[in-house]
Amino acid sequence: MSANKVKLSTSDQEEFDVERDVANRSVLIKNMLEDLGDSDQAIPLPNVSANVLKKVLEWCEHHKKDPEPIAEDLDDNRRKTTEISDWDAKFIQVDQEMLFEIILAANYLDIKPLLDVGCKTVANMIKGKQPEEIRKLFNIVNDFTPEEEAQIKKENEWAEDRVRLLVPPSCTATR
Amino acid sequence: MGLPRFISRSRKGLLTVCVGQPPRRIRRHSHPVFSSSTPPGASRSSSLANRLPVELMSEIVSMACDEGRYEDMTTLQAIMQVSRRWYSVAAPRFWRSVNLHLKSNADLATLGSALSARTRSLVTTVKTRPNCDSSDVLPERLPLYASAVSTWPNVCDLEIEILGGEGARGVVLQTDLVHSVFPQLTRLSVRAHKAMSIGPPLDWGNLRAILGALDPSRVTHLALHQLCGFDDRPPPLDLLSDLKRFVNLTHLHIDARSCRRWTIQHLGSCASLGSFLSRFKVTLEYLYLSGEKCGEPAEEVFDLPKLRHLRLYTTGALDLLPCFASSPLEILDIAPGNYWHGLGGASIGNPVHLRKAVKAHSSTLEVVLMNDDLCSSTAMSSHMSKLIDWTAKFRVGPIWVGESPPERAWCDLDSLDDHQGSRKVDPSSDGIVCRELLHENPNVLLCDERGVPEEFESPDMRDFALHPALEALWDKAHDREPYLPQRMDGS
Repeated sequence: MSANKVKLSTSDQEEFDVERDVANRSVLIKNMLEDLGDSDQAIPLPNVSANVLKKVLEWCEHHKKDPEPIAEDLDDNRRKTTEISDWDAKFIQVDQEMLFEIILAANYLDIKPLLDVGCKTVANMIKGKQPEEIRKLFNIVNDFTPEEEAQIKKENEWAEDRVRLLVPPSCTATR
Repeated sequence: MGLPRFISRSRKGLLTVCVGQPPRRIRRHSHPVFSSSTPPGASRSSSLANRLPVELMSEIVSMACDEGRYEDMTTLQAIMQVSRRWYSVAAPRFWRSVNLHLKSNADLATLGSALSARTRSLVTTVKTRPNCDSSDVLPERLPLYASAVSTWPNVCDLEIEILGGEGARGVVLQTDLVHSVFPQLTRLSVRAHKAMSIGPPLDWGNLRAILGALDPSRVTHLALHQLCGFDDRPPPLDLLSDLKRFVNLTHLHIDARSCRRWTIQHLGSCASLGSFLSRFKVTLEYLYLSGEKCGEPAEEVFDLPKLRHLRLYTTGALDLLPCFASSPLEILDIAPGNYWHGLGGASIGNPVHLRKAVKAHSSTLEVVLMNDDLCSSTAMSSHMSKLIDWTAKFRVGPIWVGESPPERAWCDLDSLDDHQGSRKVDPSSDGIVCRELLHENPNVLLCDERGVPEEFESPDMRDFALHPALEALWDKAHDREPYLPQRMDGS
């Protein structure tokens, strides 16, 4: 095994030879490599299947030269759901099962930027939808009891701000 | 669910922005991946969405609802109704903050029966005052606020407005609140209400009672607004000596403008501002000072190694800047004189100090907010071009604040969390910063009341003079590509 390559072993026993800087996009793998030193041993990834890892590695390959993300990269930037690059948007154009597998893999492998792409994509799918639409989209069973549903409805009604006019539209903000 | 609601939410409270129509930044877009009406790959077996760890679900909810400065409460409400698991993720976010000022008396009276104990336990931030100086604070509502607050067991962040006369016994002095809620607060914002029609002015003893009811080891944010609303008599010199007990303060906001005979000596009998602030050396990150007399320019350099956000609204504010030379300032907000009535002949201090401060903090400073009064003052005039040049060299964005900024913009700014909120003033947002200016010069952010994009597109909207240096920047910006809001959608 070349010093520039590492071997990764998936949950379904498939092995991948990967360039070190590609593998290093994963903080988990990077740390393991540092711990192992020079070793030919394959790094086991029991939570990632071959087809998902292949997809993750495709992302890592494309982003291998990206600068390391700054610590928080300021939450505000990370949260902006509109900010998905064209390449990432195309990359994540997969079926829903793969999308969630990628998210779980990115979380496990500790690849923050990929995790963000996945989460942002799901977030964009949720935005502006009604509860029933979200359930249908993700095949989620409504497990509320009728009483619970009624209580949530009642509370939501309370949460409606009925007296907005208490704030006169012409009021001047204080600094 | 009713009309869609879009709420500007700071980490401290809620502010309803509009009903029915989303603010410009809120856009309903279908997700970029699956555009057909039939959900692609829509789940074949058990829900994959439900396999996600809770922390990832929480992240997704945040991303789906948080547009930076606004929070899309309609989506958040929808998520809450999807399933128990999604409810458990979304509800704490939805209920964490409540603005009682937006509630009717009937809502307040039925709170106990309308909200479950579990839901009430999720509320941590309560606001009982409007974001503006309005005269509609009704004394009879104060007991309702008090009883509402007392039903939320986990309130730790409270904004209150206190009135004179009978009203003073409302939120503040109710025994049960003093014993149950006040001791658990970590953040408190108090504003004295000065409306003369409501009753006699507040007694300084009210403020002392408030401070005495807090647990000084827990409180990290303390804001005392409009101290001028208190008694017209001069405050006793040891009035705020209790402030010294708050050893963990990270945010301190003292607004003593128009407060008669207020001096720094009232900050706990301290001989100097430096002596007072040294109490918070280890913790202080945000400091707001306003008043006619807040410190002496001759004072030493203060040792405040964590101070990131400084707001000086004092006479001679510029002369105080050297005192903060050793702090890692990121946001500097300066408005000498009286904010409401202009400079009124008050001294702004030596403008050279501002340039020196920008240079001294060049490695950390990100934003400088300056009142129009400052920009247009004669003393400052000759320094403006130089200042702009200097700020452009560094990674500093000066933001000029007009006397009559767009109301909503200021409401938004005002509602933002003090430090983090300021960072949220995003150049791509509406009405705050002219993003055109960013295209060629990313170091310069410019803001005034014409920052609203639609207005900006029409030079005719400018009906008053700008400082020549700003005018030049403005004109330069107009030669560039016009504002294209759809870019923000990636389309």
